[in-house]
Amino acid sequence: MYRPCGTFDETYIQDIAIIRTPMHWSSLIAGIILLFSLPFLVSGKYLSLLNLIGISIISVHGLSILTGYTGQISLGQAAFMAVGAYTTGLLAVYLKFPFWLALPCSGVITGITGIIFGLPSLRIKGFYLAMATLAAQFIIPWLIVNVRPDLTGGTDTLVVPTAHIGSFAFNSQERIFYLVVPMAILVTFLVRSLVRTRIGRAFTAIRDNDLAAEAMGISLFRYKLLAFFICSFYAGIAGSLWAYWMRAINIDYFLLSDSIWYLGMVIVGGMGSVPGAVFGTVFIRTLDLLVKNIAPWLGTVVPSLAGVAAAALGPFVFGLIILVFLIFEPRGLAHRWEVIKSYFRLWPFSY
Amino acid sequence: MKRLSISLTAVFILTLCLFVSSYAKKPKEIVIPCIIDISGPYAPITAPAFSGFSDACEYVNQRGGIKGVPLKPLIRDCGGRVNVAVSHYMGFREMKPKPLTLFISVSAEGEALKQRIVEDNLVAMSVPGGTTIYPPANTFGLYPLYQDMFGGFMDWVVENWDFNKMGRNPRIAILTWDTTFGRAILTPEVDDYAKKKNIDIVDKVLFSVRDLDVTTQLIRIKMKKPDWVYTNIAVDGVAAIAKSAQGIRYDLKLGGCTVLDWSAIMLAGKLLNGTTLLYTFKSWDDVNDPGIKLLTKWFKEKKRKPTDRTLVYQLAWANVLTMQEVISKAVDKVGWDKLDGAAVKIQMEKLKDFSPLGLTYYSFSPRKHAPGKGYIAQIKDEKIIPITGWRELPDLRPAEHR
Repeated sequence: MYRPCGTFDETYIQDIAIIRTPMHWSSLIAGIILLFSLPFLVSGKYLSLLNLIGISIISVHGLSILTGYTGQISLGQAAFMAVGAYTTGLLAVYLKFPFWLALPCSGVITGITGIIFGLPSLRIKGFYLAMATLAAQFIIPWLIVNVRPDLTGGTDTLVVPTAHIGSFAFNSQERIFYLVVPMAILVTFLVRSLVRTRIGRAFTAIRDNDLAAEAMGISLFRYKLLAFFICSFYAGIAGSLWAYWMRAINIDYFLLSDSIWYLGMVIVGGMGSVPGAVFGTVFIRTLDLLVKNIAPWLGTVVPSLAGVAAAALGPFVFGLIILVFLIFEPRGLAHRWEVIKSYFRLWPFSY
Repeated sequence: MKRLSISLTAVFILTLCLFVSSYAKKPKEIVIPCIIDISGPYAPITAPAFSGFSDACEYVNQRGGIKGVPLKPLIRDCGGRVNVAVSHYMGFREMKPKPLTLFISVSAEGEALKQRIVEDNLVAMSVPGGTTIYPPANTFGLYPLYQDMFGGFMDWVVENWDFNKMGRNPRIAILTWDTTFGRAILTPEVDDYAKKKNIDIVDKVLFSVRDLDVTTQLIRIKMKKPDWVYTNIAVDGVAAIAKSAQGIRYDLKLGGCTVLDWSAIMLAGKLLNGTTLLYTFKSWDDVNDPGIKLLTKWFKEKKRKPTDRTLVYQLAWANVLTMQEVISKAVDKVGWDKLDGAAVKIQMEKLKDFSPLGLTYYSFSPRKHAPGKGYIAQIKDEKIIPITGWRELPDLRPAEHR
């Protein structure tokens, strides 16, 4: 790990610490204070975006472990989120589970579902595995809609009760923010810790060369399925939070296009990078909303673009920016972040 | 004494002015927020609402707005994504003053926002997905419930069926999208109503909203020999049915509802001739109707695209004019200073056969938030021609919500 000049580790605890310097600590504390002040500073519209970013970060961290660290491509992340969301919906509506119990249960059940769809990874990889995980994106919605539509609502929306802790209801964007953001921070911390453990190193070894990893004694069976479990567990947690955030779930919210975008967030942020998952999610989600908000204004500035053309300009601009970004920064935003940090470490005496 | 009387008069006038300015505290404008899918999967259906809202608000403003207050359409594209719709909604609810109304063009968004709309004390008009409308909250249907329209279609089938001559019940097969919207007619109440009307529902077949060919489904249906194939879908789905039927030379009699409109005719053309519809808005092809004349005039003046000449353009007009009506009545009742969603909702629930430009009929009550009138029309020479007058549709909501 790179660290500023003059920072020495004198104990093992210091050596394995994630946060190392007083500057790290002060930045972290200031950042968290600023983050938790946001509900008092920004409008509900932007809090809604922040909540979406928080939920997406949890899901993208899961996908980052599977795809970025273990090298197993998955195109079914949105479907796994659907499992989490519907598990929460069913537990909360029919069994009256409180949210703090429904949330982990949804994660575990989605994790088990992920293991089932991860089984083909033991025999196939690359594009073939992508196709196998794509099956999840078709099979899971079909099961949700058709097996017990009397419970799931089928294609209708299932209304989810508000999450409560005692008498405190998470019934507004401001309140749900204090549920989603701590969860996103916790998951980020857990993922950051996980990738530095034996398990994390096993994942990386499998990604780099699975045959060599097996020859070194790493059980592909165990670790690949573990990666699928962790990926789906986080997807389930994200889906559960989505359900409590929206207070309504419909299978139309978890489409293949969403799975592809989650993969896009991992790629844009930087494969195999914890900050990359955060950067990629923040970048894509913000850009998405930004373009949608700019489009109507653009219509007033450029009258020839007024009307439907301006509004539909969103996806066009969005795709264009992503394309340009991928061409000029293929290693993702995490790499750009490292470059910026290095520059400022030496500034103003850079060479 | 003279000085005192002048002073008292001045104080009186000043007090009156203060009182009047407080009572008649008119807003500078009334925002009409709309969440429309302009760039997502439902865009081919809902995008014409953009021009509809712009034109309808301008029309109202030219006539003095609502008691002198102009309307301002605030149109946001959700791209068919509910999280984007919620984000736009959060922006609307934080406006000062808070909007009174909302227009929603996609069923899933109407359902997701239903509870929030109640909490924020707004009144919404939405496409009438079942759970959006019942149990009644603050959301009102832009047209009758899909199952009610199917019921109205079944009424017409039975009226024109000679049981003695045919010696059997009429047979209807359902071919529809596997979505919230498409499945809206697959309810136990619809099955019970068919039985009551002596209609045999011989098959129920679903297909994906992305399918462009339904040959397999039609072959299966053809084997059941239905007299009618009824569908609850729009635009490209209808075109897929018509083109697949042509491919296997299946001369099917297609039935549909008000969402099967000109946007489908533009795609499938002559193949849809003979299709029978339970329609709930005036036909664009009814060129002598005063309401249609007015819309056509605006359409031409604004140089709108032919593809915007659909039901959704009319829906936008009907929504704006309905809001004009109920907000005006609410202002009369409670004044500008106490005008809020609750006051508007009360007026909405009092609407009886309100007909904006004669385009449709809106009647609501505290128990029913969807209108209930329609007529039968047929597509002839690629035009939608009425073949009956306006009629009441059966109420096929679940019993607990009636």
